[in-house]
Amino acid sequence: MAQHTTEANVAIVTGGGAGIGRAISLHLAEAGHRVIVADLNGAMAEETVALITAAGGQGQAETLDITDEKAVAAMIERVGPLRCLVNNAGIFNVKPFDALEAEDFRRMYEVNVVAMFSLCQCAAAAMGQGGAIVNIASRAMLGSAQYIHYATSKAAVGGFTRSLALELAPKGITVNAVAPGVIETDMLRARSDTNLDALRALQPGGTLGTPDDIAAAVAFLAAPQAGFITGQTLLVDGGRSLGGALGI
Amino acid sequence: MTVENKLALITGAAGGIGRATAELFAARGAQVIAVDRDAAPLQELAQSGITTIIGDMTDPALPETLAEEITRIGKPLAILVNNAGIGGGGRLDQTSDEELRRYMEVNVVGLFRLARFAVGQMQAAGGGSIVNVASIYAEVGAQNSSGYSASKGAVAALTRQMATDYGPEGIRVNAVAPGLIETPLTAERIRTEAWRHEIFVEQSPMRRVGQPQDVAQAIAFLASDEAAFISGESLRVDGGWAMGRYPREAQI
Repeated sequence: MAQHTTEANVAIVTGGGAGIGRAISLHLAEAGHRVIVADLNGAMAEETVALITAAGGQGQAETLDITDEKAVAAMIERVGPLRCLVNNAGIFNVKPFDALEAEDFRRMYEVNVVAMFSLCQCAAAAMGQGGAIVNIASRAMLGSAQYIHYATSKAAVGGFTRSLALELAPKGITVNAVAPGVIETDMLRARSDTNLDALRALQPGGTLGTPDDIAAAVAFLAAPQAGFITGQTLLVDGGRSLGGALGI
Repeated sequence: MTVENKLALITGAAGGIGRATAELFAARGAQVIAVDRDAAPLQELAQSGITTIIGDMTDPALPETLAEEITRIGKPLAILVNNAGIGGGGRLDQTSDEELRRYMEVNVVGLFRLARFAVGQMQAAGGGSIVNVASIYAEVGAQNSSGYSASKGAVAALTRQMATDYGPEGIRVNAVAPGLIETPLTAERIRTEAWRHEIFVEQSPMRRVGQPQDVAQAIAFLASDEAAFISGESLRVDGGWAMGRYPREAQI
């Protein structure tokens, strides 16, 4: 991928301390960004920055609770002119509909939707004329049982992305989303309720995704070469969402 | 993007999106076979080291010609960019059977035939990547386009079916859905037809039409190994146009 040589080549990646966020940070650094790796876990963010540095890139760790509006605003002010924001940080948990409480919904939306809004608002102001925002949605947005609070928060990410794309287009800022399918992260491997082989059987290609698969899509949408793409949610799910006619 | 050293077949490569794609792939180190029915512009591509084939999408013998060329090159076909197609306007009541058949013959039958050929080649090689060029008109309503939109709708559906059928064999199939792209032909229309300029420039979120390179970049991404976990998708390259018109005076 072409190296960016523009002055404002700074990218912020939230949740950059592990998994998909770490892969995104590494890809954006490789594409020539100075990457601000923001994570609730500062030590993990430092680890990502160490990986970036080892690969010859530029990075900086920030300990950040994305639901803390003041901290978000302060960080973006410190960072200065911005080229790219990746809203990757989010939470997930499983809870059947009849056990869900309103507080579960509030907490999910506070992190996955409201915090994303705050970050976008501050970042758009720091982008001036031109930039790229990429939000991480999920294929759960298409409808998923057992975690309706999560699924609908990600559907909100899709709707938010389309609306903000329209609003920021005159400023030359693109807003897109990437919706990952089942990605084999450490977090997924650690979950006791998942059977990886059963999940693989649902994939047309028989394999699960990797954090690099998501990071490559994010890096593409964040690059100037994708400047005429906005408001889109790109499913990166190995074709899982194509439906049931898989012959299995 | 990793298309380096891969053999890529690109149809409709003489101009517009196809040409930009052929040039981008070549610049990234792919070995390109460029197909078009127009010989003169192909010669320019040939001068930059691209293999060129003069061929018509409606010719049932085209796959045979391509197979011979691929055998001669001695490398498996890794990528097909099914770009060749014809455009044009006309509401249903202004479109004859003959015109409709022409859209279908080139945009659907020709594309279907080449996809079938490529799948055969890719099955033998153990995988590959196909990118079909559909249109934003396959996804949203637009005035004055019946036959063309119907043909592109078929391309969009075929993309999903192929992705489902051939995913297990390592063949990914995706589409791009371009908005209005500036080519020599459309540039003239945008200049001379006020309504077109109003809808596609003044009322578009980004206030511009697309360039062939915008679409070529998306095709190159979807075709590459970077998109290894993307299949059955249609990526809009339209500057947000299909999400809704956005009149300058009404920012609400």
